Amino acid sequence: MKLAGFLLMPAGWFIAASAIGLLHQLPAQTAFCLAGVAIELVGLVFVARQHIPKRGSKSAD
Amino acid sequence: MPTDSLALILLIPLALAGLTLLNAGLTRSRNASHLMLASMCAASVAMLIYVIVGCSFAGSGEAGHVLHVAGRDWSVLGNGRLFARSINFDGSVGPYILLLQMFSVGLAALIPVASGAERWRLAAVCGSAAILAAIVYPVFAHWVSDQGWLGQVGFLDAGGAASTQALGGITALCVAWLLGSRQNKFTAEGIPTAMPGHNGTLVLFGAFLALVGWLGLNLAGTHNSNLLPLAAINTVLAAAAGALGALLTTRFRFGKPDASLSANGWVAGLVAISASAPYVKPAAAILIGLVAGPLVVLAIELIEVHLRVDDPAGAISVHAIGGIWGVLALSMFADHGSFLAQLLGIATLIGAVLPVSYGLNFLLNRFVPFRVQPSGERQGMDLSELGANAYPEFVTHREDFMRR
Repeated sequence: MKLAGFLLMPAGWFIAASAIGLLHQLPAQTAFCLAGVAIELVGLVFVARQHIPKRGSKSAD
Repeated sequence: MPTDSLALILLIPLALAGLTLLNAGLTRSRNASHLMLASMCAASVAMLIYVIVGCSFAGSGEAGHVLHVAGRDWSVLGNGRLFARSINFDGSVGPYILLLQMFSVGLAALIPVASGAERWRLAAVCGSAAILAAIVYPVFAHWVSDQGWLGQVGFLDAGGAASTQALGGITALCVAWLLGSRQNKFTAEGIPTAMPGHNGTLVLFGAFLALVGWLGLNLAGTHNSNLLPLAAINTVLAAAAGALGALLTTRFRFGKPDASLSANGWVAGLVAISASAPYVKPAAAILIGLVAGPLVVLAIELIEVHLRVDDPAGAISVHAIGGIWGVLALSMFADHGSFLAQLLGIATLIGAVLPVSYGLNFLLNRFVPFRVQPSGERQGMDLSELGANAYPEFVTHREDFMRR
């Protein structure tokens, strides 16, 4: 899941950046950019969840 | 340009000094000296590596390497020369920009030191700062410059809320993830243990000192000299509003105002206004600070309690969250701010800077282990890595937070 998260982040960024290059109307560009950021945030959540230590395991010792 | 600009740029080291003091005050006494030295090393390595390598990627005012995709020019990389040889030291603006960038990269490099405090080895601190200064910072700084593809889209960031603060904060998150938490920071049930800093005076003095440095950052990033007073007023207002916002939030949430969180609110106000200091009205600056302060208090809680990320000085919340809020706030309050451009800047930070920074630090961790040995951490980084405590004569500490 961590790898999937790290793949989703640049994927969202490509969508956001592509919107600027490929679309010409501001509402469409904004919508695609927001969608890209949403995908990035999903990736960020995946990565963040993978870094949460499991309950029952104390901090590094 | 202006001797005035040089004077403003020369204020910026006070931001580095202020942040270092603040972070040192927020760590335990057995790690204070190590944190100060690690901050100095991170800033030194970053500034050297930036001049040797980084400034060639950042470029010096030209479009540099351009991709032609979808009918647009995307300037993706500068084409300067190593050792800053493409900069003319003949009275042009080049040396001023180089000096500003050197201090900015130094500031960005010492932000992760705070999130890795009390367990991050000095050699790894230097390695990570070198990566930041050689690759991550210069490439992103080129993108957001007037010639870069983000700058061409209309992305605005006068004082480096994105290119310095958010970038440093995101690197701090990567470092905290890679390091894991300090010993006994979390119980077996996942509840965080309080590990209070050793010197509240240093924390608050550092926050005050940072204001002077931030005035230098924000004013040096203001191109129109008529807007300098506005940028200065906005910087002070946002810091004040950030501190009061954090103070009130902690007062209502915890019953008493929290000094260290209020100092973090002050710095968060400075971070947030960095993007838009010369572009917004004073009322908007107050609002930006008033949101930044409470936002940081809530973000610190979220990151520590729910995500179980150990960030001793709250650097991720202050710099990453505060910086992203500042970038977004510009599009809401500035007359010529573009929501789309600012959003694309945020997308780039999360979608490009974070994975690259994590990947490079992950690789570095394989060759130069980040984390100190458990016995060294228990002993304190001062003794374990430096061989001497910051306060050898008058501080005695029990191992309050160590398992016996």
